[in-house]
Amino acid sequence: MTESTRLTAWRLGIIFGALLVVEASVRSGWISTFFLAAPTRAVVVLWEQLLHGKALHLTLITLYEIAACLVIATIFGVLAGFFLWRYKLIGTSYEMPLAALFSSPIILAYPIFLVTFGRTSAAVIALSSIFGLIPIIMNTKGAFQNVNPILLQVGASMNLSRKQLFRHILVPAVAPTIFSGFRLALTYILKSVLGLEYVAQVGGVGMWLADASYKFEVEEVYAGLFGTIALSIMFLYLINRSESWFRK
Amino acid sequence: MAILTLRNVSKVFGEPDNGAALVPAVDNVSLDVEAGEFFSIIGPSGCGKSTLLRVIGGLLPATSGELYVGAEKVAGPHPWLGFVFQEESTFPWRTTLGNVEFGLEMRGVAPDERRRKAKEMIGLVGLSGFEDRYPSELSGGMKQRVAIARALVLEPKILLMDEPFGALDEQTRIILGEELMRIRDQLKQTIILVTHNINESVQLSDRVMIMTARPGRVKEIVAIDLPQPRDSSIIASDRFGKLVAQVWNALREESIRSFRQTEQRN
Ligand SMILES: Nc1ncnc2c1ncn2[C@@H]1O[C@H](COP(=O)(O)OP(=O)(O)OP(=O)(O)O)[C@@H](O)[C@H]1O
Ligand SMILES: [Mg+2]
Repeated sequence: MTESTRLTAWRLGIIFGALLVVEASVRSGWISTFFLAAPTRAVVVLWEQLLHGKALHLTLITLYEIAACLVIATIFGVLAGFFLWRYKLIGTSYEMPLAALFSSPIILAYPIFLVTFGRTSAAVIALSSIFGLIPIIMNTKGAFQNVNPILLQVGASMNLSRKQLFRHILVPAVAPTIFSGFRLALTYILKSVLGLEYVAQVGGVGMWLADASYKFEVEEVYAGLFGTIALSIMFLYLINRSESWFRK
Repeated sequence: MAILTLRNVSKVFGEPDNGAALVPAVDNVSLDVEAGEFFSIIGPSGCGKSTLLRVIGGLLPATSGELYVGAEKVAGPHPWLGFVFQEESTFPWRTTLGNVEFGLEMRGVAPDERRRKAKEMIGLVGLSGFEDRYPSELSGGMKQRVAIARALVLEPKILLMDEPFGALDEQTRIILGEELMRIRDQLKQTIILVTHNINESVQLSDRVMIMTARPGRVKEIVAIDLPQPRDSSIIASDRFGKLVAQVWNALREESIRSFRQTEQRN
């Protein structure tokens, strides 16, 4: 067994072990179903809701919102980060305010967005994109700043064209840092999208979670949580897959 | 005919118009290197060796003077030249094979052919079995050999090497030097090696050029008349000792001067 398969095995073992403990605790009545749903029940409910209930529609809304945020944050974030690196003076002057913005509770500005965009997906996307934007800008700028200049000289010594230097040296060199920016961005976007859906009742999985919790539909709450985890795994998988494409 | 010619090459760092202090790094260097020659450049730390090699490699424009590769006057990286850097320079996202294939891939060589050539070169530098390892899984010496193979596989007529063994221990350094001579004999290359190791320069070279303290000038060129082909056992000979002494004699005064220079600056 290689190191990485062993790691994966351990990871899955821990996750399924924990689920098993929860399952057993609920089934034996040790933890009340009022607080916690048995994972198998939650999965069944999620499945039923996806097939027959409102969940499919709501999940698609959330999926669409997250994807839109990621696309917007990626395009503008990478461009802005690249720009801040290229034009040093601007980059230096805006690094501090950006970092400050990043650590401030922008989420509290949500009423402004609701007023501006109405209680729509557009409001959720507009606000949540900002959360994704900031780590991508910072990581992109940092990535370009920290490219080892010797690697570019290797390319120059081989007479590479500017395009080759960019695609085959610069891009693979900056990819890991930018992609960890994407992963960070995904986390922030998920939190923001679901939080806004929950708070403002705009639709999506967040609203479903809110509804279910008001009605004490414990199994549905956990079904919604599982759905959210599945979404986040899916996006992470896509991000990681595209990273390996840029690293060659 | 000389394969590489420098005529009064100088390099000054710093731009006069933005007020930064001018640093003359290389001063008025002229030399001819013959095809197939193993030519070493040695000098005190900071004397301008890397700068000179980068100018030769076309990675840095000379402030004045002329550079010819063959009969051609050049200003920029010439396709006959290959470069091995002083610093760690392997691509961390590529395996050994991927690193060595890189240049061929960029030149549009077909996958089968470039794989074959890269594997052959990996064998030549003694890294067979490590084709699929990433640089992070290799030792410093192995990474440097990957960088050497990556340059060699493009079959440069002139290989420029900037202290390729600088970070290595003495034993590895001697063995790799020996391998380098073997490869050179096989590929019939011209090699210009920058080093600050006197033994290494004498062990490997046909001629050793000693540079002065900064700004680097040609102080003396010592012809190494040890028999060819040689291996590392040459180190034990009397003649080797004499040549080392001769190089050190020329270098000693410059090293002291360079040492004083740095002291003053601190
Ligand atoms: N890009 C640069 N800008 C300004 N000064 C530079 C630059 N590169 C090198 N120098 C200066 O030029 C001088 C020669 O540097 P160089 O790297 O060529 O020395 P070296 O002989 O290779 O030294 P070492 O043996 O330590 O590798 C040094 O004083 C260095 O500070
Ligand atoms: Mg140097």
